Amino acid sequence: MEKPQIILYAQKSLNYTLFDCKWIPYSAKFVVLGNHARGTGAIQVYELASGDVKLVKETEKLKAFKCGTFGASKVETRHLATGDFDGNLNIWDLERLEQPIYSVKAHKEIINAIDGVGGLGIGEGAPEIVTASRDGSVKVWDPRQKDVPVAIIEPAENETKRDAWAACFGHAYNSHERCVCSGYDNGDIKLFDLRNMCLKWETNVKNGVCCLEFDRKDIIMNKLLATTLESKINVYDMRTQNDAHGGFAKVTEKAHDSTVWLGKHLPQNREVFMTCGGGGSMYLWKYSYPPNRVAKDANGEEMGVPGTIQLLQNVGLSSQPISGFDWSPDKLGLAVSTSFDQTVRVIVCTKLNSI
Amino acid sequence: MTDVDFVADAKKKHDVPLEHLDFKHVEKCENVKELEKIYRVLISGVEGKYPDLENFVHEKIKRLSPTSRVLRKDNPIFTKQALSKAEQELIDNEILSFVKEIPNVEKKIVSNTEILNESERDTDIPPVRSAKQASIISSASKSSSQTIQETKKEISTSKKSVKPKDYREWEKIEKQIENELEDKNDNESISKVSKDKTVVNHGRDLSKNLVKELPKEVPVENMDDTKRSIKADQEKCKGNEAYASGSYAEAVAYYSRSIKLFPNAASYNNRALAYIKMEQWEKAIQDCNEVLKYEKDNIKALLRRATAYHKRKNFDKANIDIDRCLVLDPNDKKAQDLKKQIEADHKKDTEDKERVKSIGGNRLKIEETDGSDEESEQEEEAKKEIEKKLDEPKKKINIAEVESDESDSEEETIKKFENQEEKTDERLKTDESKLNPVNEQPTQIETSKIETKVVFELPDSVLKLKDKATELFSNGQYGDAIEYYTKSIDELKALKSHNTTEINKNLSVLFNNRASCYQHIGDFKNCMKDCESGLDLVEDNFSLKCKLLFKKAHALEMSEKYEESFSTYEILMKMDSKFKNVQLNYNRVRNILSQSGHLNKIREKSETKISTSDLEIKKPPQVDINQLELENKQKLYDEYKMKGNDFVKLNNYEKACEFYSKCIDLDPSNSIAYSNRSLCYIKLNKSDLAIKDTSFVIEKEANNVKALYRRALAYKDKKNYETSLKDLNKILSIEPNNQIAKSELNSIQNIIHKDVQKNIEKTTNQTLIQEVEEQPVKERISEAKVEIKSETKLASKKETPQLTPILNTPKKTYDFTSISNGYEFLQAWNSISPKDLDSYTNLLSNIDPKNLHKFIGSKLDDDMLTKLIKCVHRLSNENADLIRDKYSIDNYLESISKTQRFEITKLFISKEQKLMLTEAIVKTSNADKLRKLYSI
Repeated sequence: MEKPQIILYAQKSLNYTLFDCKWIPYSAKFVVLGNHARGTGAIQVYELASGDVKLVKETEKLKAFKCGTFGASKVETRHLATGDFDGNLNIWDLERLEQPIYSVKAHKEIINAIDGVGGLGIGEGAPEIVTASRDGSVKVWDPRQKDVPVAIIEPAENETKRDAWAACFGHAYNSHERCVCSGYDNGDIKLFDLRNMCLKWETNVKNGVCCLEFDRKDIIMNKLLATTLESKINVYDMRTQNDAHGGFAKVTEKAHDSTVWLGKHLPQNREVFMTCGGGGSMYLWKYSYPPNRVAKDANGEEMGVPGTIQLLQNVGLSSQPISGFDWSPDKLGLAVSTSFDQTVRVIVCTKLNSI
Repeated sequence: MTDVDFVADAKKKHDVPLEHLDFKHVEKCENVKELEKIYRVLISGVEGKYPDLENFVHEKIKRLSPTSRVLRKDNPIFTKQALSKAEQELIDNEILSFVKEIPNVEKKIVSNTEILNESERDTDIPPVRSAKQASIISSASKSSSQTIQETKKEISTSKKSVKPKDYREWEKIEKQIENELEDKNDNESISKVSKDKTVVNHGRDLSKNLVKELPKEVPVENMDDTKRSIKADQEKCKGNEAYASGSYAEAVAYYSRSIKLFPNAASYNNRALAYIKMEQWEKAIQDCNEVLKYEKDNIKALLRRATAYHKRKNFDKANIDIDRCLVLDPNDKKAQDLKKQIEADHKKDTEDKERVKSIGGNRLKIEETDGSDEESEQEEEAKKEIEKKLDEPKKKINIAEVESDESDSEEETIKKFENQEEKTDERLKTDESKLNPVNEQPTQIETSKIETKVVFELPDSVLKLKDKATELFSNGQYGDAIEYYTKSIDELKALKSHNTTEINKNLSVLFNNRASCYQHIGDFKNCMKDCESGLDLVEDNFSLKCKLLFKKAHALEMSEKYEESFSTYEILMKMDSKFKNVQLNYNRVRNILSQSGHLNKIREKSETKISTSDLEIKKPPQVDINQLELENKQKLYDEYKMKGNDFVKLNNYEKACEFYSKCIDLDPSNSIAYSNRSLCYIKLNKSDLAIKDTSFVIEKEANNVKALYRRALAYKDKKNYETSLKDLNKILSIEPNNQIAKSELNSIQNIIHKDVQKNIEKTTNQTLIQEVEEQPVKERISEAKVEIKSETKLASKKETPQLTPILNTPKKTYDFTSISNGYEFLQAWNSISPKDLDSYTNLLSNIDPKNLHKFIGSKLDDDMLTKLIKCVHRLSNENADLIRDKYSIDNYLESISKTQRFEITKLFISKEQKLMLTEAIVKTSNADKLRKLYSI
């Protein structure tokens, strides 16, 4: 069997700094978010057309955008939720970009990460957005509720505030269960149970956590991917928790020789994921389960057994760090990425269905 | 800086002595870690560039550890241009087709927005996370410091304000949740957890318990087909992933959701595979059946079903499926292998059974002769042998399973996983040990189904015993199960005086169950006994009777009483020829017999038996149906009627009459009993009474063909030929195609003409025909019952319109006379083949025009209207006398014009039809009005 190939399908140089990109669900269009030289924010919509990308729509806003998600919007409306450098959470109707349809000053400082759940038919239950900010707090928002978050996760007043770099949803397999996982610059990873409003698990991976993602949001939590500074990639088996053995079993891999900025699971196959590094490299991985995912520890209690991750392909894409990466939910192997060399690239991964 | 210092310095920097950067050292070195270090030093260039050495080390590492991290190099990304032309085109085409197609999907999905308003869409979304929370958040900063100091955790999410956030309470909740979810096996870990003071830190595999919490229902409202199929695909994808990770229960849950959303063959097929993994063969078979409904020749489904049958030791059915596979694809290796396995196992299985028997026999003999050491030796040997025998098929099954699964080319992820699984033989083997009880489950399910159906008023003690027995049975503890069944049988027997029929029913079920226990432990003698006592008691439960007979036949076969077995199978064949197992066994026994040349003898013997049993069997299905039609209230009525029917079967018409009379006493308004009683009277040559009964029925249901026919017969008996003719004519006006009525009419006309005395004989002949022709209808129903057990009620209801036309031609046609609602009308309408204008006309002429528009309701479309017009046209051309006043064409046309969608549909009327209409309208009385209505 031949290895999957990562192929550059199209690329376009732009005149601003790119921070994030997201496919618009059920379309061949994607959104690029970024920061103009004069400090203003950019939203651009591109459409994929015969070997090229065409600009469909663009707008310039007051504040630079850091991140965005469609995860909490309805299939029919596909509203984009964005976090900006000033700590604002906005939700945009891409048809009418003049005014946000929802806007809140969510944090005092930049929103580093955003994730949504409950929309797009992914994950049961209420639509919710989680934001992680440099101000140290992670907040959960419901677009139906103005001004106040539905949950806040932050350090106590007398504790040092850590920069929250990553946050994501998971475990949303029915309408009441839901978890938020957040990662911090000191290497802390915390898992919160939103149903019970409690901390379910925490760990420290020594290096700052750049990106967190569950392999799927809408199933009983299965795997968590955490990428960190110092070229580390951690994959946790989230099925079996045993705190006597560090909570969840994990497998660690080293790659990129620099910060691993991003780790994104293939929507069509949760065992495959792409990591993107500070050196502009992309690594495609596959997770394999051990023959038995659960073992008994010395006390006869169940503990998870980590699987192995196997490198499928790796390429160097640009000289600058890759800031954004998104798999197309509609087309297997299609992806878009942004990097700090001010270029947006459409990428095709071949032979993913035969892995 | 001296040389020594320099060397030490280099060592410090990267831990590699300089002298190691040498061909000789590298050649000798087998330590990958060290080599990696050397390689790193070399490529870093700290000690200078040595390209040859670098390559040499690289090669060496590659040889020793091909996956080493230092070997990873970022390849430059391919652009399209770097690919071969074919690859380029492939990618281009794929992306282009995606770009082309996706806007269509997008349109469909987005177009919904306008239709649904906000409130509608929000109905199934839970409310905003607790409204209380707002206050929680405001107080969060105060309360948080406390909790955080205690816990040293950085959460401020309001531990106090949401009440049960105290750790102790957490424990309670956790325990509660767990108690809800716990499996028996998990008991241990839970008790340990409760001792632990931490929150959630016990080892627990989430997937086991939480799978149950996966919502089975998927909100499907407000979803159109596109969305549904997309969502169904997503669920299927999740199912595949869960399957690949070994969570079969979870996979089943997702596949089920996918099927709920959008029934598709692939999901059924995959679910079947997951069921096979979970060793739920019966369910797997059901799913495969479902797939085969969609795709008749789906090899994968056939293979999977064959595997499941194989595991259930239903070798014959497995063979049928596998043969079909091989017909479809003769080169399919998996199918070939599976076939070999099935054949081998089949052989082994039968051998084993015999072996076990013979060994048992041997042992007994030895015990009798001398009870010394020899015995134990022999015993051990025998045991070993059995174990060996049992082991072998197990292994084989293992292999077979994996192989058959591998054939799955559709989900290659799954396929890949299979390879891994082979390594996990161990686990499979332990699973295999559970195989035997699981194997038997299907039969168990069947029996318990009957039980629930039949057992209404059993005393608790018996119920408990029976439940316990059933449980033991499903666990494979047949010996214990037999004990409990025996106890419950004894208890029931003691109660026998109270309600004989009810208890007989239950007893027969219990005997059936005990018989299956005996069958499983290979005690065929007792099995036979139970079957016989069950058969004595069973009265009218057709399926149970079949089962008992089947078991008996099987037991006879096993105890090598082939002759008796053969005759029993033959009876079974007469009863239900569609039952495949019976066919197969029947053929097998016949082969055995024909080899020994006994067949003909038995033929003669059994002939007489069969003919009697044949008669017995005819009615029961109908009894069942009647039973279903009636409510529980009428149990007694039912019982009497059943008894009546039974006696009819036994040709004891007098007794039958008695019971039917009782029925009539109970419910004088129900015409069925009258109708049935009239049949008895005819048989008893009491024509007067028969006429009375039938007249009563006809009074109630003017178009009851059955009653009309019977009255005609009765009149004929009384030699009142004219009235008889009248009735027959009426039947023919209702059902012009009724062959039997026609022939009867002819015969009576002949009688009238020739005035021959043989008429009595003929009538009896005719009734016989009547009975024979009832058969196909019944059979169909009984089939339907077996296939869709859960939907039996529905099915039989649907079939009811077919039940009445007993006198109709054997072809599957609807009785148009008894249509009383729109549902029946549309069913009848749709049952007619589109070109059969006669039938349409016939149907129409049987409908009161006043009701026609109500029947059609909103279902009128241009096709239907076209046909209606054609029918009306034809009617108008036919003899106008036949059509009574209210059945006039005016009325039809007017009624049609009243239907809901007529105004729109009439726009589709073509020129040709308009011509027809004008022709028809000309003949009517109020042509002007109709012309207006039809805008002609």
